[in-house]
Amino acid sequence: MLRLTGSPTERAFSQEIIRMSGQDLLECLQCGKCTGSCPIASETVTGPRRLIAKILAGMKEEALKDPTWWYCVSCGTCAGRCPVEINMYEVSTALCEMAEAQGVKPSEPHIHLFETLFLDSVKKGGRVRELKAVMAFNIRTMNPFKDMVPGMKLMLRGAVSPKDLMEKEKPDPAVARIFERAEERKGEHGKE
Amino acid sequence: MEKNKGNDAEKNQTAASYYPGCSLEGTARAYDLSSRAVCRELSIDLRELPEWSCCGSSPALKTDKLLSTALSAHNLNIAGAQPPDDLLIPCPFCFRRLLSAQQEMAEDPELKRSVEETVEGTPEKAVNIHSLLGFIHDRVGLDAVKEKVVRPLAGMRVVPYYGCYLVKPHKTTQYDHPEQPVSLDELLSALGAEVVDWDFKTECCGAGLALSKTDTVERLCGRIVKEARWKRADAIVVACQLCQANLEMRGEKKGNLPVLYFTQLMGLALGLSPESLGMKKHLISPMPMLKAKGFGEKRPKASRVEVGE
Amino acid sequence: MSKKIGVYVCQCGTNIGGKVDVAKIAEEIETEMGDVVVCRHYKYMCSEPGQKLIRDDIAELGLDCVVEASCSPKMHEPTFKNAVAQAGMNPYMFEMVNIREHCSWISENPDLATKKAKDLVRGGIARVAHHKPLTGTRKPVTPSALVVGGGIAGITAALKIAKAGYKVYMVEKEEIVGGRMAQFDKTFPTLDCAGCTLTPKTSEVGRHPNIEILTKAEVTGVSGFVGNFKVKVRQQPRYVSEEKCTGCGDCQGVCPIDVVSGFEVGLSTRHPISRPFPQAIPNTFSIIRSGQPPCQSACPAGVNVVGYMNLTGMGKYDEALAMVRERMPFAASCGRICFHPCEGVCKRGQLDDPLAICHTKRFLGDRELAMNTFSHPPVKDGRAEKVAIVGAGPAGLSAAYYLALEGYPVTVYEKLSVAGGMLMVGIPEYRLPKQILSAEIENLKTLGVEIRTGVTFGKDVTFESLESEGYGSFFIATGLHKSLSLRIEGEETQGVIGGTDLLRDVVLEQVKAGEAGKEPPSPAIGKRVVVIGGGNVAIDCARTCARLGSEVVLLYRRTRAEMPAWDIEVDEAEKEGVRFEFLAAPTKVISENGKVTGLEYLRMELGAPDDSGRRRPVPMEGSERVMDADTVIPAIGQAPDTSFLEGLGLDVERWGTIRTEEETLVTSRPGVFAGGDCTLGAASFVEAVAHGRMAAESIHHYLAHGGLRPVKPVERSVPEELTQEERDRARPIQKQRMPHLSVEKRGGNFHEVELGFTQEMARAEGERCLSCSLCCQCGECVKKCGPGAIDLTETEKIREIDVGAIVVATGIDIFDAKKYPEYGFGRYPDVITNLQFERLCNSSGPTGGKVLKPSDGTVPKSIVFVQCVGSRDRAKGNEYCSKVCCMISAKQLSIFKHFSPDGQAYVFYIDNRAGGKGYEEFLRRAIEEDGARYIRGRVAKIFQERDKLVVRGEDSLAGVPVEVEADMVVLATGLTAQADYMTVARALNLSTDRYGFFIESHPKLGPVETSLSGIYLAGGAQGPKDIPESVAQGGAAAAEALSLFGMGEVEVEPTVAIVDSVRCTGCRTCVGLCAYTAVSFDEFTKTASINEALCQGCGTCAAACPVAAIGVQHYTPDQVMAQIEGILGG
Repeated sequence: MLRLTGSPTERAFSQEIIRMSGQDLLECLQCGKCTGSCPIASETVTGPRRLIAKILAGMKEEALKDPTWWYCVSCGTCAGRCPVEINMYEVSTALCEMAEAQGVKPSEPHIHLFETLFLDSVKKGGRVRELKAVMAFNIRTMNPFKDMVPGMKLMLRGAVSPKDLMEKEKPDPAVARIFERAEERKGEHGKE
Repeated sequence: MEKNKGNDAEKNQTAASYYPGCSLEGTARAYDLSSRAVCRELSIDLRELPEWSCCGSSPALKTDKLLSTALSAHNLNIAGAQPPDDLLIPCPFCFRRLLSAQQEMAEDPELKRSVEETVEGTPEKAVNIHSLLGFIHDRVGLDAVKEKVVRPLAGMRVVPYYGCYLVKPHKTTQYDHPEQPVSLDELLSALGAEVVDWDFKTECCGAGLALSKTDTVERLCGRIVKEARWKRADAIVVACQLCQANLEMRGEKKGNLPVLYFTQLMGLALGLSPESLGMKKHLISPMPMLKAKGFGEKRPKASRVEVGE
Repeated sequence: MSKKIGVYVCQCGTNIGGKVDVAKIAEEIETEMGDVVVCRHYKYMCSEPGQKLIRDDIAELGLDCVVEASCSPKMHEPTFKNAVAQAGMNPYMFEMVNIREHCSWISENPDLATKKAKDLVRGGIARVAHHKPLTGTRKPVTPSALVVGGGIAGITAALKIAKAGYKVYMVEKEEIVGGRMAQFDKTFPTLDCAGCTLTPKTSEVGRHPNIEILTKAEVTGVSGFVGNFKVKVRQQPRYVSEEKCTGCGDCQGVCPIDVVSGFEVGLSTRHPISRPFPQAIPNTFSIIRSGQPPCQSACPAGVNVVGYMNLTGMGKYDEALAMVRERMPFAASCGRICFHPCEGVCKRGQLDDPLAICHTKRFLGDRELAMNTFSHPPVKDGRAEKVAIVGAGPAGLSAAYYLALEGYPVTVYEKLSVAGGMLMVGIPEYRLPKQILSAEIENLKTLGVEIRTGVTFGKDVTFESLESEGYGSFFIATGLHKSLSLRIEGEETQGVIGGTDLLRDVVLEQVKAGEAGKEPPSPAIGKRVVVIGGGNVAIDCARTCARLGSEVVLLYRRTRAEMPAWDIEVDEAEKEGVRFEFLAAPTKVISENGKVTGLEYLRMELGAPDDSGRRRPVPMEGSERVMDADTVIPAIGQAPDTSFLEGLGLDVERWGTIRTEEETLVTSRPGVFAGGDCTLGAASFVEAVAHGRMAAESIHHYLAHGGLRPVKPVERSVPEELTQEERDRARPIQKQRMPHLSVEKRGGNFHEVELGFTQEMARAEGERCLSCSLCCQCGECVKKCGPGAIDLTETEKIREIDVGAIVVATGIDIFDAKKYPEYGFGRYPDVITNLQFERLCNSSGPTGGKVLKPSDGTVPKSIVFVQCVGSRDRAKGNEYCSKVCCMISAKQLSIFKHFSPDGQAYVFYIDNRAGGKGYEEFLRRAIEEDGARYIRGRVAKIFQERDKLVVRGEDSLAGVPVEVEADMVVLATGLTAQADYMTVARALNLSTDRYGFFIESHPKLGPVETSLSGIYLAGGAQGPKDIPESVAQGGAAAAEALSLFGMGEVEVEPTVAIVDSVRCTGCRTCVGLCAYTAVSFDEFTKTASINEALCQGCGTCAAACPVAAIGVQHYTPDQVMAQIEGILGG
């Protein structure tokens, strides 16, 4: 049960998300065109409209746990169709940053895992080593043989080379430094 | 206008910076190969950015705005340091990310400041960012392309698939149309292919969820490929390695419908061999289809001056 | 002497009192300001007790002026002016200060608000001390009304005013009245038949004696003021007389043109002549025409190209030829040599290739000659007055033809031994075979035209001699026959032959020989011919000489690009072996013992463009060269034979052509007209023919009515830009190519090169016509119409109407659903708008009232209604709710359910807006009884998957994305302002909101008035509304007009400009500036004078007057300065 008392703190959460994302959610008509457009919306992943409703209702916990923004692939379809031109993937980023800053446990561990592995790879070598990231993911998710058959096929056809797996990435100090400095500033916004 | 551009491109080499992005040296070599080959044919002298890095892709965009913008800015600085004013990017995500980083920093001085502190530098000049498709369609121009065609793709029935990042959101990419794009259609017809109109041009393939949410991606791709087959297409033509991989690996398995890069078909029409365009590197091999259409083997190019070779 | 001033400060409840400390102000003002004898504040000054305070003070304290500080003058100035007037004070001794909108409402800070308020009050006090008592004048009201727009709102207003006994002019843009409602099938919430409720109203409007309907009309401007408006109305012709038309519809069958029907919203086509539906008012047919097509405008003779092309397309070749003959007697000849400017502007050229107009015309002419007949309009009864024509060229012969048809006895005098003029002796056989031309000339003789060749006017016959023979009028068309000389050394040498002279000699020889049945002797030209010039004559000479077996070089001082000759001619000449020497100008003819041996010439280069726009050639010093030649043919142009013209005693121009009046061709000698080359200088054949016809008309008027013919207005031309509709209309037919005689077959003979069109080719070209003028005026309907109701010569009319009041009811437009590409409107035939759905339901609609899929005509099982298409969507520019769409969809789905009970309707909506009597109940019935599935969510995308239309959106109440398979999708398109709202707004000086809806004077209290008194709003033009609201507002607007008429008079404010005639220097600066034409210059006093009735007191003249001789009453400099000082004084 939501209980509203008229205290200004009720709006703090939505105002922060609006600030961080630069998207004026107060203009939302709740028309649902975004969710209708959203490729990842489903019975379980309820989509942007519902997410905005939660934010505006001040349901912080639910919003930060909502799978929708984890699934968001920033396809930008909703942004193009929204009658008030709200760009949802900006909102996803805001929620993600806040969730991390406040140590909210990722509600979609697999997506989170993949993204972490991906960025680790970039941090190491400046560029992502797709195959390594994929392998790492499959192993970490106890599914080492996922996509093995197509993987081998591709290797045989020279689409990908085993080198990609073996070779150690050569570090890119500039990029590593960017990661460090970004780390320092992390959650400059988003903290309570 | 376009024609003129086409003509200079023909006369003197146009130099442009080139940012392949991680996938093109990983799982999407065919896209890299064919892109470079086609540019050579169009007398575009590609200058690959030295020491370019990942743009952070969706993981950075999702999790950390600053990091994401900084990684893009880092590459923009590298591009700003070398002569060409134009930066060509085959990967639609890299294209959109660098472009929007440029825009965001222009609009938000505070972001600009913290980004520049993070990357420790500012660009010497602001480069013009183009997707490879956009550059070929708008700058080189269809007339110039037509003039170069030696093997029209006659009898090849293709559905153009644009995906998302190239055209959505329009506010950011400012390219073509988010719902009914036409540039790839026009390019393919200029190459002589039979282009089939359909409503799935910009339906999302599931992009980066391929690994973590395979079922979602299979749901989306399955439907796209099914429709393409129902349209009796010989191939789906894409401008994005992520779409390519997803449609090929996660799409409807039966029917083995090839999913090709527009640069591969372009190379074919410009007289290059399937081999040299990475046609043999595909999970779903296009070779049977190509053979059936008479594009199987390399055909010596009829006494044409090789530019840049 | 100081005045007694009363000051009253209003609290306006908390509106002012909440911020401004009125008590403080009142107190301070009373003590600080000398002239103020009393200063009060009160809770509601506008209330009766408040007003009484003022009235009592005026009476008891004998106040001279009153200052009221309260709300905006727009709100209550009338109230207070009235109050002081009741107490016997002149209302102009009152001043109102706005301390609500200007102070309390816009300030957060009470102290500052109070300070500003006090300053403003002080200003008011300072100002009012300078006020002078003024009295306005009264003007009578013109008791008639103009209603703009014939929709249900306009109809209601018109009927109410008319029934009260006043005249009403109803101006309607379309062919019929009834507006949008006429397109609807049923109305919510009662499901009454829209037609059954509307048509009684429309027919009442149609027959009401007090109502005059002006269809196809638009208001172009309004002047004057309340009660005394002057309205300019532009009315397009209906072409069908409302009196004579019986509505039988026979015209429909014969009309060759089909265009998209606006009334059926693109679901079907119509003929340009039609009647939208059986009960339409006016209940007669009418013709839509978009103007004069470019081909006709471009044709010097004004031939109705679109007309004869379409007739040809129908295979009606005789009718087509007759249409050509209306303005061009020589179809076969014209079809060969015309320079056809018509094809250059043909709109089909923007799509693929222009129509082959000229070749088609030639086919028509040839076809008739082949059948050896001559069709022409009936010759009128013979007339006595004889007409003499001098010169048997195209101009003279055309004049002869049209005069002969008028019944005049005509004689043509020709100097040469043959008739035809330049056509005969100036254009070589291979371009225009002589027997073709001769045959066409012979045809004229069958009309009784007499042609006397070998007679030289001025020598053998003269004006005098012919007048004595009873000739009443003359037409001089002697042409240009003298070749211009090169003005170079040695030009008189033997072997130098003028271009036209050469051509003439060749022809005359050929003719002579032809008559004698022998081979013509080769004329005096040698083996090496040099032709000089770049025009068609030069090319003709070159090609002629080439045919006679000479080696030909053509010398031209510019480059090929600048050659005036037609490309096709130049190309053919090249094919035939003519050599071109560009950028070369002759300097000297070289000769040995009196015979030409060569030509010296200079190289040229192109310099700056000359006044003809072509780059001027400049000689290159010392570049002289010589080329061998035994014949030199200058063909650089023709000159009039001045010696001959001077002999006639007619005024001539500097360059020797006869001076005529452009419109009538009359010369300096009464009864004598002139045309063609001898007036134009070297011009084209078709221009000559145009002159001939023009002369014939003038001569007819001169002889029949003894005057000069009146000048006819020209029809405005159709827009140049090709429209999408025209693209869709274009039949996919290739341009027909003219077959040519092969080059080998050309040498040594003069056989015609262009071989002509076959019947199939001509017909195909006819079918390619887009008929961009809509009606092509082919005249088929005119022939068919029993009562003779159709008159295609009608022209647009401008009317000036005097009215006292104006009701603007221009209605609404429908949002363009193409702005939602994700909805596939325009891509999929089964995705339609709700207005199109109305037509599907309507029994007079394209499906006769059956709800069928436009794609295949089958009955849809599932229909999805999509709400808010173009409403509540800021990104699409329409942020507002269109108000009626929810109910329209509920209505339409229940119509659908009645039509097919087992069908299923879905509605994607955001919020159901059913505010209105019985509306909510109606909507519930749609859900509960008709079983419609209402899904809350805005549709995301409509797309085709396999062979199904799929509608995707979110069921936002269930919280899941949904997809619905639809047989038909109906888009509930929003209501928008009319596309042309701006022209209406400009014409009537109305202000609009950002959407283009007209703004009412007050959102609450003035919903039908505008800021201009006497102009009222009704219906959708003011904002989206449904039928009952429109009707109510129509009635309200009528009431406003009627109360104005009831008053009979209007007060004209005295706040007008006045001229200090002593100061005025009569410089007239002000006269030109006044937007209301209120300032004029008095010739007697030599000063400016103001028409108080027209003056709006805007002050432009006052501001512009260099000597400050004009001022505006009640806004005098001392008053304004005093107010400023007062404000700053604090």
